[in-house]
Amino acid sequence: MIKYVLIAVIILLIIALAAYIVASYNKFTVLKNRMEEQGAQIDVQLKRRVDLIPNLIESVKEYARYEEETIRIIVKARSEIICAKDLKESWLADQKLERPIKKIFAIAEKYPDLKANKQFLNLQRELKETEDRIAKTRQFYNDTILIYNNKIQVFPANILAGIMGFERKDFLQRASREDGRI
Amino acid sequence: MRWIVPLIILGILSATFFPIWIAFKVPLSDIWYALLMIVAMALVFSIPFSMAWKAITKQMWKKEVRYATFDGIEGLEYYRDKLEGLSPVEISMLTDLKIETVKDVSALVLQYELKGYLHMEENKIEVFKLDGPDLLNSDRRLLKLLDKKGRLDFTLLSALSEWKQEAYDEVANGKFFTDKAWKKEKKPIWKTLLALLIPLLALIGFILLYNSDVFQNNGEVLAKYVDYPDEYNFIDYMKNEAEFRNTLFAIFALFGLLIYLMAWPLVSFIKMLIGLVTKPKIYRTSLGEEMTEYIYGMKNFIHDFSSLSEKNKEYLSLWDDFLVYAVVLEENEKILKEIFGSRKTGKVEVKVSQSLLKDLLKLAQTGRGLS
Repeated sequence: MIKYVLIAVIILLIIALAAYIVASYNKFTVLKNRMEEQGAQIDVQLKRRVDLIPNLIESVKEYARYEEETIRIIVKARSEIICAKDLKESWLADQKLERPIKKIFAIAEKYPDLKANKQFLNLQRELKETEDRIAKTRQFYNDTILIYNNKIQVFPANILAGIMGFERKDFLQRASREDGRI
Repeated sequence: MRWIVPLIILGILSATFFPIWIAFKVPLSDIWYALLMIVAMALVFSIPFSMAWKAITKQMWKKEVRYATFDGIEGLEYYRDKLEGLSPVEISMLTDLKIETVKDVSALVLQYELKGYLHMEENKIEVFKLDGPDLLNSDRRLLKLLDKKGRLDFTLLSALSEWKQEAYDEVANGKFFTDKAWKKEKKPIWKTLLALLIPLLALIGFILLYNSDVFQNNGEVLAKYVDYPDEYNFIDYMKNEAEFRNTLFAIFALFGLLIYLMAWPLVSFIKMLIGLVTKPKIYRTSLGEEMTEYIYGMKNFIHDFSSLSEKNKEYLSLWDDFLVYAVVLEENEKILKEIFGSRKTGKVEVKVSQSLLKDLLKLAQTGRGLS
């Protein structure tokens, strides 16, 4: 009799453990997929900004004769974003765009014609909107990373996550001037 | 996917109960037999319960969102953009057709702060502007009240009743609502008939089988064993009588099947009971239905893709409208306590009716008792 009870208890334990492992694996996978999906959203926004750049350069070409270096940086960063292999690379390249684009907008302040140009104003608005969207999408992305990291780093899930190959992810941070990435 | 939780719980419960039952009653030849029985029984007993649970929770959820059909936009699970043009009160009303004062006022206070109408420091509110082009009359009323009181806490709830009525009327008379149901769901009659017929047939079948000779013969043995357990060696009987053993398992399997078939009408009955609760005063227009789906897409997005539930008011500048949505969509309760204050003031508001006041004055003047 005891033998059967023991068998039943062992089977029950195995079932419970298997259920926990399956549930954990599924949870990790769902969180990882959410994180990647949100990362893809950032990529969409970065590409959107990249698509706006040729028009921006075209509209300020006449006025930015003395800003060749700025335009060169923008063009280079744009091609880096296009050729980036992953989100981290395109994100770092995108960071290089921020200051030169602000500089281009500052040029407009000197030229009333440009400031009144409808196409330029539209571009300025769209770029601003895209920048806001990128910022918000990044916040959500970092939050999904936080949720994922929390899930895979707490005990006992960390043991399973380690065995199943789920690794901690880094947050997408703004490149600081100090580390020379801009 | 919330139905998976009861499925697992019931599966585990069944898997706990039946191995013990098997271990005590059934002559097990090997472990595979035991395993097979556990899985079979766990499945038979957990599936109908999980189905019932799924249907009930879905109905409760639909009840929670109050009569939204959610058949406008196919597959809208997440909505990520800001809900432009929707006020917190509209979001709240579209969600469940009512205003919840604490939650909605908290969301409004956050939005007023975002728009520069006020600033809130701890529990104190400083109002900068009482009017603006994007304000409704209810907003002006609320701002005036906030300016007058300079703070928000639970003792002010009664003072917010006028605001609540005005805000409700504004939204209810807007483009998202109508007082007539624009769409009426018609349930096909064959579904109802089928729901009644299947369990009825199953019940007849079960009775017929139960009255058959095989069941009766073996049932007698079982009855004797139940009545006189000491006089019958049940395990020996089980070991030797394959027919009895199979019959016994067939009874259990049929019982499980019956539960399975009875689950649907049971669920329909519960759904009917839930649906019997009062009809709504207002209905969403088709535009309102569509917006409700976007709102729930936003709620799902906030729930799955952010940790906004843990953020406090300090994060308003960082998360702006999304924090407002989190509050109004019940994804953040922390801020409600921050805005309304978790501590009670201890003051007791005594409401005195006008007639009682007159009587008291009369009493003071004449010195006579109250009639």
